[in-house]
Amino acid sequence: MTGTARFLLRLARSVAGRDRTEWIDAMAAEAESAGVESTNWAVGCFWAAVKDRIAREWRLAAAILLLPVAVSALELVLFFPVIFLGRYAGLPNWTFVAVFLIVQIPFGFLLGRSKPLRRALIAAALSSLVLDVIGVVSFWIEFGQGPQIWFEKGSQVYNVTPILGWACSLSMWLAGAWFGSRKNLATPDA
Amino acid sequence: MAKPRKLSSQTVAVLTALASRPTDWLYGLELAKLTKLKSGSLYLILIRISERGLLESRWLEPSGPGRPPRHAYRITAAGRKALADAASEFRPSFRELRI
Repeated sequence: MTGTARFLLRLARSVAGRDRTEWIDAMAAEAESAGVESTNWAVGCFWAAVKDRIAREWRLAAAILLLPVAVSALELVLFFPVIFLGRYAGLPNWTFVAVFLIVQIPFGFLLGRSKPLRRALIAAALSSLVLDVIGVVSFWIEFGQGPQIWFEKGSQVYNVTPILGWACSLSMWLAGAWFGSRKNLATPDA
Repeated sequence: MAKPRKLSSQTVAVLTALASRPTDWLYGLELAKLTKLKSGSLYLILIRISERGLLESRWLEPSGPGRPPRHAYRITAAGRKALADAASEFRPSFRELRI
């Protein structure tokens, strides 16, 4: 079996979860027998693990995709009121940024409330990623500037470099999920 | 009573492959070759039909030293019945095609 196949099967195992251990073992055993085709085989197995997990946890998958859409909509609604209010009250720029970051916390909280900590943190990280993608794609559609612009000098997300801005957003989601998990309704991670 | 879920054409292909050798235990690679399905589709189907009791699985001893045991599959009586039901559902449309 190739190193890539081994790596993909390890990923598939973590995506699939403990309920599917026997099936991942079965996939790995076949990959071992597949010879030169083991990488292709493992790619399919990884994809099967992802699809199976989404099918089993479609509510969580929907939440991961829809909560960032809700955050984007909320930020759009808040944009002008916050700017006008800030200008009127003479608030510094960082307060606007803080508002747009802080509004993400309750959405992470919702994920933390319904899932055990580890899964909530993973879900929050994925939601944060989806939110970043929404930002990049909507900027692309609106202004015709492709994703490469975020890697050019002078680009900013939340008034800082894109990497730092995305990291700030990620930390809001994770903090929300962590707070939420303290009030968790779900059983602990098995 | 809940109506049994209709089988997809890919699921029928897997069950047909298993039913073609009803006493043999078939490996994932063999099934992929027989059905021309990729592992990404094949395992999802195997998991689903196993949960529905349409196939049984077991670990078979390795064929040689240094080889891992392999997971093998065989159709159950419920699987054969589901396949027969699926075939009878397809029959009217074949008749329509002939007209």
